Amino acid sequence: MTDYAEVPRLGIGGPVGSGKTALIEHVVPYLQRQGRQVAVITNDILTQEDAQRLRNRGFLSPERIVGVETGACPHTVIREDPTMNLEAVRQLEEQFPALDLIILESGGDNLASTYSPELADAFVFVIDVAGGDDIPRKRGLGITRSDLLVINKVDLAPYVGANLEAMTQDAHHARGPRPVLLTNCKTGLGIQDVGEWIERALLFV
Amino acid sequence: MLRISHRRGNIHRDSDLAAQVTRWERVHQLEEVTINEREAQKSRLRLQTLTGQDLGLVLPRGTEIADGDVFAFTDREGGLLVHIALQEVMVLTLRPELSLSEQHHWLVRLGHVLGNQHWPIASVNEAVLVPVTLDRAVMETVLRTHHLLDQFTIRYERRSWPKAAQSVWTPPHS
Repeated sequence: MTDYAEVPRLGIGGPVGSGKTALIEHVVPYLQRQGRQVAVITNDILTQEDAQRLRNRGFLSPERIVGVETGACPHTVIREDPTMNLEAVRQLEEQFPALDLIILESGGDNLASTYSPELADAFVFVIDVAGGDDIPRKRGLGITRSDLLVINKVDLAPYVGANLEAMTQDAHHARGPRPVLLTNCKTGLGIQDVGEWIERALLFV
Repeated sequence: MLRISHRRGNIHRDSDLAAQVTRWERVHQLEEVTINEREAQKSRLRLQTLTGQDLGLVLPRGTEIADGDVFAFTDREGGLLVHIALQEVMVLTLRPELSLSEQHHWLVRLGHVLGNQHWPIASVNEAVLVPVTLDRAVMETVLRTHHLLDQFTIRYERRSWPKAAQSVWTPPHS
């Protein structure tokens, strides 16, 4: 358990459809198996679609999942003005003082999405091979500034003509020493690596 | 893992602490770390010190680390000295011959253009600061497109990013 005033916060961002919610569906159960108490905040423009999807999965009690309806492109409420998310964080911290981690999921803004340091202690940027293997070469802020870059849906690479090896090399080249991990949420490939990175980077294991 | 307990002060403002840091250095009780401006705004960081020590930095929310800050460790003697890497900054200043109404007009235009680019800004006295995160030519092209280069002078500096409390406009001659 962590002091509620200092619950670590992890942002998970990336383009629409890259697999952010799927990653959460697999990483949160991994963290729970390590004894961690987790809550999730999702950001959607006009709905609670992602929050409802997570609630339907049943691995977290519904009260531990908060959907923020941003009313604007979600990137604006994780970077420019994070007050709505900070309020959601405050409510979760009050309601669940034993939390070890709060995950804040948000899509939008294509490759330039980043999290305000005021909101997230670290952030993961999720891209996928079907979005194009040239994404790392385009070097958006999500690629270059995120604390962890996840390349998801690696199983699809041969079917969409993506060169996964070149994509990974480009990602490392764009990011220098910061890590890049490969995942396939259908099979669980790489999920443990992501979970271990979260524990190391934010929970200081 | 090394952990810090609290901020002892800043060597740029406290000569006694600066002397203490020198003494720690002599007896190998000083750890140092260099972070960037973005990291300086975070409340939780896992870092390696210059000697390779694993360091977990946890600070109260809202804390901004300044260059020269010194932190005490939780379970060992000595301290941690933080250096913040300087960053390149574009400094924009309105041309002095503009009237007050023209200044209002062009400052609003500038704010709109910079906001559309999602570029962070700070206002210090009569200058607007923008971190250089792209090629200078690209940034200047954006400003030129909106005729802002005719109204603002530009120079570049390597400097620390002003803390929130310092980045407010203060009227001249006050």
